[in-house]
Amino acid sequence: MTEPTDLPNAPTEAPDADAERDEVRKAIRAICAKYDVDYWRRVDAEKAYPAEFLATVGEAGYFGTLIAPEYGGLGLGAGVASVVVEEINRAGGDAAIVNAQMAICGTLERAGTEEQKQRYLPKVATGECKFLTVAATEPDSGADMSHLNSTARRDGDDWILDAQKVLISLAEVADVMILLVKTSEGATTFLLEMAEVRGRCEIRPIDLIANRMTTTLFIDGLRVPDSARLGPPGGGLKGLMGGFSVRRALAASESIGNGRFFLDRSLEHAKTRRTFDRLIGSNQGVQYPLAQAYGRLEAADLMRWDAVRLIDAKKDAGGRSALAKVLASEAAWEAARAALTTFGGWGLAGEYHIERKLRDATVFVFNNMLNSYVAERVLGLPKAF
Amino acid sequence: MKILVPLKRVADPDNANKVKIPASGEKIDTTGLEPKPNPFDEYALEAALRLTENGQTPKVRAGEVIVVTFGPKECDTTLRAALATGADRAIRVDTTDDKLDGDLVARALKAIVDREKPDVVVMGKQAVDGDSNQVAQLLAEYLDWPQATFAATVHEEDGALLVGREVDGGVITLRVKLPAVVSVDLRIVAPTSVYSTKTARTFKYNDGVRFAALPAIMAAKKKPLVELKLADLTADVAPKIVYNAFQAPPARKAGIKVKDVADLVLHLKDEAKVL
Repeated sequence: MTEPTDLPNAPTEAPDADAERDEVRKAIRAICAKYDVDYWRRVDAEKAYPAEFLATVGEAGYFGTLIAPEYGGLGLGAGVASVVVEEINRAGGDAAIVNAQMAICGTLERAGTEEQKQRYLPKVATGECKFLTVAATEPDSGADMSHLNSTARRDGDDWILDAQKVLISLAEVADVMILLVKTSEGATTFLLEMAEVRGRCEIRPIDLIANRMTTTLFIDGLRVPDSARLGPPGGGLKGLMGGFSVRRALAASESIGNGRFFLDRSLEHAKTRRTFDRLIGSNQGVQYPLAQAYGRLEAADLMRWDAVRLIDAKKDAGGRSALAKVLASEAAWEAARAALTTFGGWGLAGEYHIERKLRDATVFVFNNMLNSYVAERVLGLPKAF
Repeated sequence: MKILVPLKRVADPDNANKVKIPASGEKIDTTGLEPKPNPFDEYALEAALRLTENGQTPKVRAGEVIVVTFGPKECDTTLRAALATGADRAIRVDTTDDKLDGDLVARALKAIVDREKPDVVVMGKQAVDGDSNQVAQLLAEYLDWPQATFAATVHEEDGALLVGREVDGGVITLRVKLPAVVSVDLRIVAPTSVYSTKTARTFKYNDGVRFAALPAIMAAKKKPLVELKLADLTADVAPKIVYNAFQAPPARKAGIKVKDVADLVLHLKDEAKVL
């Protein structure tokens, strides 16, 4: 099944009703049809980098979706980008790398010097430069970016970097990455050209539940010029946080794509699989979880489009995007549960693709920081930490 | 080279089993099926794009492809998608399917050809809804142009096309002088099926039709799309084919299980009367 299930009584006017996005949806579906679930199953089994898929997506110009036209991109809104990642996941693929390549360079576009932007962004837009990761999380502080142990200290016109980073995606394949360290002025970001850095740091794979090409990254006394600094010293967190709303909206869209994958597959199975002389879809034990999963996904999708609306209007989308990500990741998780109920034991078998997407969906369900954000910033509760 | 590519929008051919026929039998109801371009027409567009470029530098156009469709306003999305894939301009003749037959479409296309003066009309061998398979042949007759139907390969030569047609038992190769009408079959989108004079014969295309790139989708909004009235193209807009009634094929009866080979032979002899 390459086409998402058409539901007989789905609302005719989807919240994203927009001719431009519909066209993008169809175009990305055509690409996804070529890279089917068996392609993704193989990539997952081999823990490989989906190079062929990414080459096609890059040739088709999607990596430049968010990059401004003056830097070789298309300057389209978060809505278009969100449709792209949603459709890749809905088709049974994994949009993580496309998401990263589209969105991580936003920090560079906001905080970088003109020279840095001209140097990297046009090549990021074509995919020639793989700009895929932010090395922020550390062994002792986790997601607490205000207590960094990694440092940069001035030495003449240069900086000397010492960093210990964990759970870093795609450091082995990235051409350029953003590194977050502490300087005397506070948290500061640097651009690392991995071709130069790779031989001078230690990268070790971490075996993860899903294929994220995740590693540790240890840097010991690496000298970089001041031109590698991204944004002002002490401005690192601000530079990164400026892109959080978009990244959350895209994460929400990835989850909605995952959830719709589970739902599409489950509905098809429930409408064709017979046991005990009846279609399993006529059993309420199968119906109710699917109906509830559908409801949760639709509700999360409305929140996603509200977040996108605010982002594209350049308004504060912090709260809405946080809610969208929390709701969508949980809805996808519930949809995975409903899919397991529908498929029974076959849901655990690789050939049905539920277990693989279930593993993909787990990546999104860590929402503590976002719940704290909503509690403090939206509900006005006292700071937890 | 200037190429005209007629495109038809059809109900999702992958879900053709979901069409319904109302009790009145007056029509085929395709409600709920997603409209899609006729696959053979998509292949024709791909062939036309290959003929108007150097395969090594596909972003530089070396010719013009005009897509034309017959249908209501909603068909503009089909044309925009074709423009996003690489076509240069589009024409929509405003009408609806129930007012058309193959002959009327061919006569209207002739009028468009007379205006646009393309070097070649490249089209799908048939639309997968009606499966009439006659517009290309009728159009060639009305234009008094040579035709090469069911093309699997097309190689451009100076003032002519060398067309490989797959037929029972082999391939017939025709050299058609331009202008001409070519209708294409499935294999026209294979990697080495179509070469313009600009494309090196060592070049291999990706298998299948090309994807619409995101920048092209955006740029397609600015490409010209004009609307014409059917009556402006042909004075006689009455279809020659009148559909009296539609009916679904009868449901297949359940089979029977035979006891053994002797029983099978008996049934084949007495009931099926094939022995």
